[in-house]
Amino acid sequence: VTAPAIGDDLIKHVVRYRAWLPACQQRIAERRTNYGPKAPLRYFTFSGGEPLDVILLHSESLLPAPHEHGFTSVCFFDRHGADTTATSRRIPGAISFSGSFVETMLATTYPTVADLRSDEANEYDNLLLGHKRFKEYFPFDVVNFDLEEVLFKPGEPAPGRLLEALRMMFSWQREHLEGINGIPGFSLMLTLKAPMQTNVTDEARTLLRNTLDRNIELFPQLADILSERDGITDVVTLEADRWDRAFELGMPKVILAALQDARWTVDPDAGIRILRRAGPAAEPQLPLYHIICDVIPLGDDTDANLLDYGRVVRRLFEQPPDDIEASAVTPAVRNSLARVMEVQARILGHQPNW
Amino acid sequence: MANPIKVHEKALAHLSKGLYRSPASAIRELISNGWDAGATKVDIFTNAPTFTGLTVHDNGSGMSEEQFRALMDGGIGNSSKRDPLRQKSSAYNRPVLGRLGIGLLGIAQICTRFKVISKSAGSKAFAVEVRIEDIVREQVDANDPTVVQTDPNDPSQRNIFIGTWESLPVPKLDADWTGTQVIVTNLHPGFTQSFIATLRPLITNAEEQDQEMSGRVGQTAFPSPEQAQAAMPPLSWEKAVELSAEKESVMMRGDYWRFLWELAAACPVPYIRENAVPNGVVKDDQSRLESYQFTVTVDNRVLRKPVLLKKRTKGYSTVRLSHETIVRGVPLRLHGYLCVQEGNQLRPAELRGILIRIKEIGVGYYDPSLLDWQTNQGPRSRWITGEIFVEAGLEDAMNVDRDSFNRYHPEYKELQAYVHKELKRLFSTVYSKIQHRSAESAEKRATVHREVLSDVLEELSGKTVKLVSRETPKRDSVIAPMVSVQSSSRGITVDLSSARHVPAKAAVQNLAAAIMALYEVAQSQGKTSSERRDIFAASLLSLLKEW
Repeated sequence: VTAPAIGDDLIKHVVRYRAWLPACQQRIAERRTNYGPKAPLRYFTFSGGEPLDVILLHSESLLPAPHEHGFTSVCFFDRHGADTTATSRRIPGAISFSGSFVETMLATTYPTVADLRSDEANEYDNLLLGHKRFKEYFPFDVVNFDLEEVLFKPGEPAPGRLLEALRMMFSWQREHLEGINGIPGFSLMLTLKAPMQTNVTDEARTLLRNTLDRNIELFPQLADILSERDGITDVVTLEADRWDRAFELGMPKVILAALQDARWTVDPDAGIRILRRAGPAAEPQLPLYHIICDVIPLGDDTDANLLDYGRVVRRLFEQPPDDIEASAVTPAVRNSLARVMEVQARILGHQPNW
Repeated sequence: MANPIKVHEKALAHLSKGLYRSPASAIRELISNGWDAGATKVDIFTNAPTFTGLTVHDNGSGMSEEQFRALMDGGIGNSSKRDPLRQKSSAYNRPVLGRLGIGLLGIAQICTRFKVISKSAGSKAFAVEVRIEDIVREQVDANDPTVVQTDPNDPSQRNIFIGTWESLPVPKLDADWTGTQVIVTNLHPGFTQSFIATLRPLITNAEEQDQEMSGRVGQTAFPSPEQAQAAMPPLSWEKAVELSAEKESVMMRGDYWRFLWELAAACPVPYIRENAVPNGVVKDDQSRLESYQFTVTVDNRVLRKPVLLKKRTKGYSTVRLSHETIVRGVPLRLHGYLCVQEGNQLRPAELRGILIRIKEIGVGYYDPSLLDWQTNQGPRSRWITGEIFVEAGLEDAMNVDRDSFNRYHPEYKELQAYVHKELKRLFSTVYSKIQHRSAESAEKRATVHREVLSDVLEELSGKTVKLVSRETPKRDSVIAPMVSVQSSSRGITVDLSSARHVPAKAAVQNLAAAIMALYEVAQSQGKTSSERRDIFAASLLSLLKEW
């Protein structure tokens, strides 16, 4: 493993170093205040074979990874589905689930299968087993969906299976509000790719549009902000002329709605932070969005909830995403990535002292 | 498009569900493929402790799609690697095992579907999904023409269609990578459930264990994630092997531990260190195994042979094995060792017995019957472990599962006779050592007892004491007095010779003699019988305190 000279990896590391790391530092500080200095950070990551987020947290002493058993407080699904080898090699001891995250999350019923010994029956058994087992590993202090996937898949009915799976995951998190291992809240990190406007179904577009319409209906001053910033006063025109802006404004609230369905919300003091960077070299026209937020329980006071929601939404309208470009690659970011790669190489080499 | 997978009928037995003794045996076949392909590393991932998947990656020479197609189209069982002219592969001078097709499909024991991705130098990578049907056996028995056909080239043979395979898009791979990846996409749920259910902390209380075991019957009681984590083997394989030796059996720690242990035992990997077995008996083997440059990892644990004999004060007896002969025209050549851990049962129990390796790969596991040794060694049979590396011969004696032998095969009988002769020799040495050690120990104890007796008698009499014990003719009974005491101005002489005739063990004789000596000397002390009794009692207590 060698440190890359420059490119996607360094830009991505800016996100890890400048956004994910501080969020995790804050989370572990809170957790250790409540549960003692040895409380581990329970970290869920959806990885793509190179879990450098985990190695960064380890190299910054947030994930201690004792040599005897490895990264036991880390749990992951892999973008490669059945084959988690690449990720498992890099974070020994982490709890891994083979197969599709979405299918595992949504495997709640057993369909009628004619032959209980059949391949199909085995597949459902495995999915149900994975579903049940995964639920037992909840809750997580940090949930990091490094999906790099589109939120709305072409041809998939809205809100889409991914969003349904996320909603279920948030509800599982909510079951652990109390208790010895309970969570007072969690950090949510999501990496999503903007879909091509032409690939988005009418249903999904309507979902986004309705979200924005409702916002403006609830908080009329948002229309003024929109007009001031984008020179557009209505959502239909925004969607037609500025699809990227419509997506940027609508998508975080779709996530927020999924959180609220599970009685969570975003901490209104911190709001939703959005970082934007160019998509991968093959598809640079599809920007990647990194969403970072502190999730807290939704209170019972609906008026207060509405006000808090308004604060979160207003900030989204007012503040455009932070663009991450080459200028953001500071020496500190470079050094951090070099250190991360060094630690990763030691782990891959089965060296005793990571 | 789904392509049929055709195998010779004789190969079907290899692929039958439940043929292999354990999942480790099925994975061993894939490791063997990597070995033959010149891989330096085979990485196995089970997603422990969730056990939701299984992958086996090797970095060997891989295969082309054409080679794969030929294997699936009746090539299984006809591997060219069985050619006797090619007994060594070019990679690291490894002996060739040559079970590519069967090895590949053997994984079907633990799943219904798996992917194969492979790339060889100079050819394009390919990816396929293989499905093995579960119903073939019934159809073969019924001679169902949809699965059974006569081989056009050999009418005496039948070809069996056992499943299908189809091409998949090739995932992104490193340009210079060659090797083979087997990715199980649909494990048998029973495999997963059993691995999860048995991964739980050890229960030390016998009553709890009974309850626990009865609770497991007929249900899948899963441990909590915390319990499962606590029961996971450490990443350091050496530590895991040390832990496995702390309990009676690896099985007590669950199916996953057993899987790791069995794989480590069966694979052609080096020992943890060259002195893993005392007296340097595996030093040469270690050099040879290291020269193969072959590493197997399971969930990031670098496996080594799970043999680590150490820290036993009573010592070990070892014998090196080396035998070369011709059995009905077939050369049989082997070497190895037998090792007895004196006075202590070996742990874990899985290490007891003899493991036979053919071309470096374990055939089955350690055989605790010591190749059906008829001599009853009682608990001492649990002191012995050994390995036999067969360099030539014995392959025909293997049963199709590669886990056991035809015990009436002449080559096996020859091996058996040789090993039993060596076992006899070894145990004879062990018993001599035990006897010698027992005698030494008894002598040491007797010396200490004499010193104690002298001290007590001197304190009692206030005189110098001389203890005498002569060899006397054997008598049927003790002639009183058991102990004679002669007192003079220079001291007292206590003759203990008669005590030798007390019908008891030497230790009892010594104690009886000492007590009698105290009694006799106490008789000359004190003025009244009451005083003498008290003096005797006090000195007896002093004696027993130090005895």
